[in-house]
Amino acid sequence: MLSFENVSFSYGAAKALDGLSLALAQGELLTLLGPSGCGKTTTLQIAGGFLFPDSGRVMLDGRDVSTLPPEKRPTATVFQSHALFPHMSVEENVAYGLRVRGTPRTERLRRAAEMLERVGLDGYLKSRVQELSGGQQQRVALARALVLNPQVLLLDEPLSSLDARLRVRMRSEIRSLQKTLGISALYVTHDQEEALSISDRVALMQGGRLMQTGAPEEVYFSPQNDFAADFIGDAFPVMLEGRRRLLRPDQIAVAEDGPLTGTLISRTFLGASADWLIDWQGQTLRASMPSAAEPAHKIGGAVRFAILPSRERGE
Amino acid sequence: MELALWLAAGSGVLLFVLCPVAAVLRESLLVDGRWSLSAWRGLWGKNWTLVLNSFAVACSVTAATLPLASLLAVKLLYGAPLGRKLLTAVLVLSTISPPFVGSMSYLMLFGRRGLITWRLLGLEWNPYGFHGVVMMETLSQLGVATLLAAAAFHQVDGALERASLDLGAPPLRTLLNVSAPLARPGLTAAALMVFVRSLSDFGTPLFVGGRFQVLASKAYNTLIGVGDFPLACAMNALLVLPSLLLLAARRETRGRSFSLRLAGARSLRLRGPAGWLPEAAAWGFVAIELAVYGLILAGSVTKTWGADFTLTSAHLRSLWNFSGNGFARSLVCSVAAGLGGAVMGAVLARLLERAPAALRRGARVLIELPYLVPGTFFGVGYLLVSSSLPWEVPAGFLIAMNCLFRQLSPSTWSAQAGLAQINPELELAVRDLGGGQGRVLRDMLLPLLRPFMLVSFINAFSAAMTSTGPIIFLVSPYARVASVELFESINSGKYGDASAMATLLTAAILAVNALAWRVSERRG
Repeated sequence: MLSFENVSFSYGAAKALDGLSLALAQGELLTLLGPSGCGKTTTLQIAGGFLFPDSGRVMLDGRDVSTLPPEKRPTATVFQSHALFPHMSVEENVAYGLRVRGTPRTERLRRAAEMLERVGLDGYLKSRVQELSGGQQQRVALARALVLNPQVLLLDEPLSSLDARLRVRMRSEIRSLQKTLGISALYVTHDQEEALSISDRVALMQGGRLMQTGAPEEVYFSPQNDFAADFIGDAFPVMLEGRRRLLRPDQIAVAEDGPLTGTLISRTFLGASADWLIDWQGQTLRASMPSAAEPAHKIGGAVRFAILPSRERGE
Repeated sequence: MELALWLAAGSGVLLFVLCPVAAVLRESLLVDGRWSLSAWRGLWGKNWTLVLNSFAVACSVTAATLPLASLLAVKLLYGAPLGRKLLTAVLVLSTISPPFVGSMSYLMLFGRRGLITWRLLGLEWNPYGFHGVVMMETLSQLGVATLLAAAAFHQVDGALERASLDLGAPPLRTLLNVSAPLARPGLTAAALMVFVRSLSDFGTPLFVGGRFQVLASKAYNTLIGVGDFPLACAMNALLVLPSLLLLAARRETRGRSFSLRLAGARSLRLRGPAGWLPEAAAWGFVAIELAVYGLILAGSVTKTWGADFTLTSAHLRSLWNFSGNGFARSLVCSVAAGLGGAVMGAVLARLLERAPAALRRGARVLIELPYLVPGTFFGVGYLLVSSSLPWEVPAGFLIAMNCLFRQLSPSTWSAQAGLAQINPELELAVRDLGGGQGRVLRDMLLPLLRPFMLVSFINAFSAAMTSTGPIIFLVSPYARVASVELFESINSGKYGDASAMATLLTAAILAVNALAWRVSERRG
């Protein structure tokens, strides 16, 4: 449905996208994940028509839309700042796209109300957008995009302005809405947990290039490169038997009868889990364990542990 | 679309800013049709005293105004809540009311037939001269200077002041060590503005200078009387130099908005002498200003000020009979200048927002120039350009254009401040939802910029209603305007007519201000 074919883009001398090829399937939610400056937002803006590629093509349902301006594209965006019109009511905001398309007033107000009910804002039709909470504004932005029934929904870090609890709730709401409507969506985030929890597929980006694409479990358990391993799951490099290997904190198992011995440097309590930093043969290892199962310990004391093999997908 | 706007705005600025300014400079170098520096040399010879006088006045006025303005600003932001609204109202009133009303009241009290000097005490005190000019210019600049100083203090982050208090610094220490240094760029801008404006003020020295003259007043007399154009143009051009320096020195100082929304929610509260000094200054200023307006009201219903204090409506009636036409022209020109300025400012702000840096800098100079050069200089430029044209340009058109472009700088910055507050993603959202450029303008930009364009309108309208220097050479016996009539009445000592005109002008400006706010509140 939506596909990027060898797309490059530069801001002056700075290369933002370097030969990106990527395809979004019908009804799929694909997440663009990566650190800031990796090109994920640029990709989304090219998909929405806010930027045109320097080279390469953007195809939508077999049609070249590379230079189609945003107002002509069958895409709809949920902006990072929500970009709600401050001088319009909730209802007017949601109906705006239909108004531009010349939909009759009663019809567009009916559809706006319908969509607002869907996102759980049925009591707020006439409210001013400034009176809404962050989560409610988020829903208005979502309704405003969805009411147009776009071929592709574009979401640019839509949850970044919300607090942690609301973020978790909103992402499952977005996901279930997207699934019920069967809409295809391109979702940008820098938060790996958000990406893993919401997506059908994750596209990991760095420096304007695609580093790895796959289902969440696949990218987590079978990273194809150091970057992928480090960015998803906090892997760290260790020399084992003369070979450099990437380990994740959950692969260091602290146990009375562990075959290896190191020294405990520090311990961080994180609520549900605890992190230990262990010095082992001059290397620093990180171990993560559930707090409830955390053994007795003393900073500077000896620690016995084992290194578990990395799990493969589906194990 | 965008190119057309660029062309329109560009040709407007070239025609109505660059051409007049260049015309004056050219005229100062052209004696009897030949290039010559003789006019400029005249400045260094017999007119050297005038140069010194001008700078002495400007320096003294700046030195007197800045501390007073700072005191008033401190009262406004850190002082007792009592009287804050009254002070703000009086400040605004003093910035929108006709110029020279202070000088006129001063003469009504201390002048040759003044109430105090002549009638009551018979004092032998000469109000005319250097001291009179400095006092009256200080009084007339104090309003704008205070609003600028208050804006400077307003921009200081209140959290920094709270941090200083929290670390144990007493309020006055905090004000001097934290707030004042942070407000310094704004205070410097205010000082430079006062300096330039007092340098180019020609009315005050004319009224209360007596035999004491400065470049600006001499240039006016030269243009009106002897008609030595090159010399007068050279005098005016010399006054432009400090403005150009100011322009070069002033970096991008934004947020120079005159719409004061002073929250006054400062944790800093001054106590002791540091507290009552600003209070005293504030109440003193309010008392003087109220006395000024009281005198003018009284003057407008008094038969002959100084000689016959019987009540009369003759001045108001003669105003109606003889000056209605000029007053109507003033209103029409000012509304046109206000509306045009608001639209043009918004268009320019929008264009400059997306322009390359070099173009933006160049445009900024051209936009600021008319605001900073002496009014008479700008006016003479219009006179020179229009008289060199083969056809007659209507005076009303020239007056409106002159007022529009003179206030283009505040109009543009106001719109720019508005644009800066608009989330750039809103424009993307309109386009994403299917709207083109026209929709962006109609559905998003105009509604959100409206409050800022209203500020532009009110500012340009009020300035145009009271504009004197820039348009005094553009009026003719057939095309008169209210502010120039006011000026001429004062100049010829007709305080009754002048008071009546000043009262009417102030009332009209206040009414339009109130009306504009009412309209905007109903809509918003």
